[in-house]
Amino acid sequence: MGNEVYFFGTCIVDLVYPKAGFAGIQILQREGIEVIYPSGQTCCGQPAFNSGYRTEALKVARSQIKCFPKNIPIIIPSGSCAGMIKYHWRDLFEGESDFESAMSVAERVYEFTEFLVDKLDIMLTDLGEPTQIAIHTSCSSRNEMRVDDKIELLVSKLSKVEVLEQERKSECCGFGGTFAIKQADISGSMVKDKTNAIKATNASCVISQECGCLMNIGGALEKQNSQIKTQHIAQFLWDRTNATS
Amino acid sequence: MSRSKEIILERLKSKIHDANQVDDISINTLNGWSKEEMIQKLSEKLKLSKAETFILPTTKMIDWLNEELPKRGIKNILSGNDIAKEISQSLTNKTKLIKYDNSYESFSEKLFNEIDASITRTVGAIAASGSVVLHPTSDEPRLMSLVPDIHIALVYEDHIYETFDQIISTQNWSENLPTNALLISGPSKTADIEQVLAYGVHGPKELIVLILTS
Amino acid sequence: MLSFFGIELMQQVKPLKFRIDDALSNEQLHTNFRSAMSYLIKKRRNQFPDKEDLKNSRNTSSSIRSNSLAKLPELLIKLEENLEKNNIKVHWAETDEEANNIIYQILKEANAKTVVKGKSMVTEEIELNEFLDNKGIEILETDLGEFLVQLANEKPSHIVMPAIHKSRKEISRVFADHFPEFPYTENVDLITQQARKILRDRFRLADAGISGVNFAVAETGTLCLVENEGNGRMCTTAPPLHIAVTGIEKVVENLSDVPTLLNILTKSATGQEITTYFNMISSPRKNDEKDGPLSMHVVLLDNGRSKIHQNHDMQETLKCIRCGTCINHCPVYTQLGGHAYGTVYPGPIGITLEPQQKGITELGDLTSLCTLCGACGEVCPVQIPLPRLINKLRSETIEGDYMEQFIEGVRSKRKPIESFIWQIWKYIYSHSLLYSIFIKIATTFSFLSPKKIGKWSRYRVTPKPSRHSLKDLARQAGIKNE
Repeated sequence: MGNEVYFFGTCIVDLVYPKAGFAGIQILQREGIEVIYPSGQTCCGQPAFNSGYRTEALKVARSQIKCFPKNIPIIIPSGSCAGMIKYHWRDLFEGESDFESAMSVAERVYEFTEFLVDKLDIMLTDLGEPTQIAIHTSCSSRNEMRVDDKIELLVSKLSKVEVLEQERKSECCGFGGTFAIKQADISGSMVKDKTNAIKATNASCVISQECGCLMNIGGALEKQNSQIKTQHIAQFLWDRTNATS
Repeated sequence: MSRSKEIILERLKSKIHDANQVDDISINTLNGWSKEEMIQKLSEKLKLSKAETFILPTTKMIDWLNEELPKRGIKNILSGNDIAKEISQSLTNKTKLIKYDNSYESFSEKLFNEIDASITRTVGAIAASGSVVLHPTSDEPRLMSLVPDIHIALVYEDHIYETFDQIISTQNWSENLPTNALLISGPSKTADIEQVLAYGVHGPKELIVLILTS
Repeated sequence: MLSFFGIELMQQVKPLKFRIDDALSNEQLHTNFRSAMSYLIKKRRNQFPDKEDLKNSRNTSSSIRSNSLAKLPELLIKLEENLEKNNIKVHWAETDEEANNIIYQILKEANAKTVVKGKSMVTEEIELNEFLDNKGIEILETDLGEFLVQLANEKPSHIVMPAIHKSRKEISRVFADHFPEFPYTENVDLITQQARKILRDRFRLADAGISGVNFAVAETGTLCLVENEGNGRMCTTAPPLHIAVTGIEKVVENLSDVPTLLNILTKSATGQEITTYFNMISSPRKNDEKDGPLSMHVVLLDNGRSKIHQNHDMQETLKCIRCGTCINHCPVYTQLGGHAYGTVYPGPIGITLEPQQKGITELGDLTSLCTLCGACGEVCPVQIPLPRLINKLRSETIEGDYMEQFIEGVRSKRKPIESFIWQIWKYIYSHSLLYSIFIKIATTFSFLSPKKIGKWSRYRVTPKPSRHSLKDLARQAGIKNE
């Protein structure tokens, strides 16, 4: 097996959380993996797909296929984007002439933590200070990609990190992509319940596999003037295990 | 005459869809419980639902009735002819034995307002769910196990089954279902008010199951 | 009897937006639903300790229901045959109006003036109570939750626990207002006993009983009903006339299908091993029997189901056994409660089913009441892929085509401005050059990014584009780009 992978950053990471994506790439490189970052990548099409605009979603998704010609894994630092390609491109491309090409991309997708645990069996040495964190497992990590156990497993390898569990851990944070805009008040009420649950744990940081959720939860915590930080798992792992962090 | 039936069926027939293969997973495989285990599990489940269970030899049933009925203030008890034949001679005179009139219509006022308890047979019980199974008959009509405040059900230890599946297939229900088959798993209850459990809503407030051994 | 024109009409007429606002601003409601849903979720989880067992049970239940749908016309014919053989008369109703008229005619012919009713969502669907009320027939809900909701002049807010939105205090108040002969009490046992007393004579003297059906067995011509209180058995056994109303999709092929479905229904719906009563009716009173209804009728209701059945991609909607589990696990329902939806069925099944029945023009907006979190799909006992169906329906509201033969109002929710925004998004994101330019501008001028993005910013800090994109960082680090 070769050691090359593609890295699909996702649109939200590219624009808003690039450091998290870069940390992911660095972790892979540190494991001896050669990372390819296709320059033509933009978005998996999920925002439009979940808003009912499948025609537009298809156009964007289709434009991504040519970015991943080699038969190597595609690593994605997001459960929802990974899930979109792996499970929903089937619906999106149904009946299309490039259905097979789309499926050949879909079957090579790994969510970031999934790849670290299942394929790399990664070893981690915790170089950070003792800390208490909460873990937010996103709905797609749980219900689509089924990788919620991976983030827990990775964190358990960090000897100085204590995980505090918030109430109703598996309940949706209220992001839901465009739901947060279309039904902003319901979303606001949901994120309020979520942040209350997290604040009640007294964790100093909440981490997740999902930047969308972090944007929602982190944005709400900040608006509430909370001191609780948020980090993507890739950033968190890099900070804890990289000597020069 | 309305054409609705034709219209509806026509629409339903217009497409043939694939059904999922019904998986051959026998999810209701039996555990192979012994008679004692079945009695124990049945009692446990019934107790959880706030039913009472008593395990006693068939011969001791009349003693139980004579002791318990007066103790519980049960002044009269409704039964079918079959049970009446069995107990009327030896039943304490503190409890009057009442028969269901010829029809509900003539009996309903008494049934609703004057009967303290009823006693019925069962066709068996289901250990896994803690249920007694009734097939009401003309001798033991349907409302006997519903209207009185207290219902006493007689279960024979040899008629306890592990699962609902088992009793259906063993007793060949699909060939001979009664007009009204009933699974009863406790006294009547509700949790409609703030999810707080309350008993004795419309059905009996008490279910007493006598598990009769030979 | 009781008029429904007060609160109910106001609820229906207010647009969705206002109903949502009302729900979200009601702290008491939030507390009630939060606690109720957590309770029901926990109860269900306790009933399924073994993941493998649960998986097998769901697979089998799903197969049984799929089988029913695949053979639906043939099973309905067989059901009718066997019901009629059992002396149970069968009526077919294409629309809600037709069903109401059929039921009214049966009652009229029997000279029935008072009716007692067991809990039945399908009768809510056809608005039977209002219809009979207008015809001067007294119809009394007897399930305690429905009874209380009827007294309060409201609609049920959950399909299994209709009074779940009401606190104990509110219920005590409603009771005391209607029955001043009983002392005011907040003791649940006492209220329950009072209800029992009030309803006893109503059962005994009613001219007719109306019920729903949980499963209709084609093989034997049997109607199966689950309940805990005993009111269902009262309604189906005491009055001389029993009318059962059921959706056409509720039929199952064999008696042997019933235990699996019963097991997963009760464990999912209320977290019970089994309900207090499981009532299997195969005949009215026979000549030698002493009680039971003298005559029985079944009304098979279509009301849009046959159209859904034809719609291959949405057909799985009809697998539903009305357990309410999806509703219990829906985080949006937990925030809103049932009334905000303005529909008979709320939550995930409601927003999937009702727009298909009543049209997208009227109800298409409901598909936005979902974050696609997937919780419903994970717990549905018959494996209806609810998130997938909801998302599909959502796309039908925007750009559907072939589904317009099955659902009214396809494409009617497409809005010009929103559509335009997605076109722009599409151009930018499907052309890597345009995308690069867009990213360059966004990152370079990130300090100019808006402080507020609509209502997002009411609850959260507005995200800003970073100074450098990930693509920049990757390029700077010399990472291969193909």
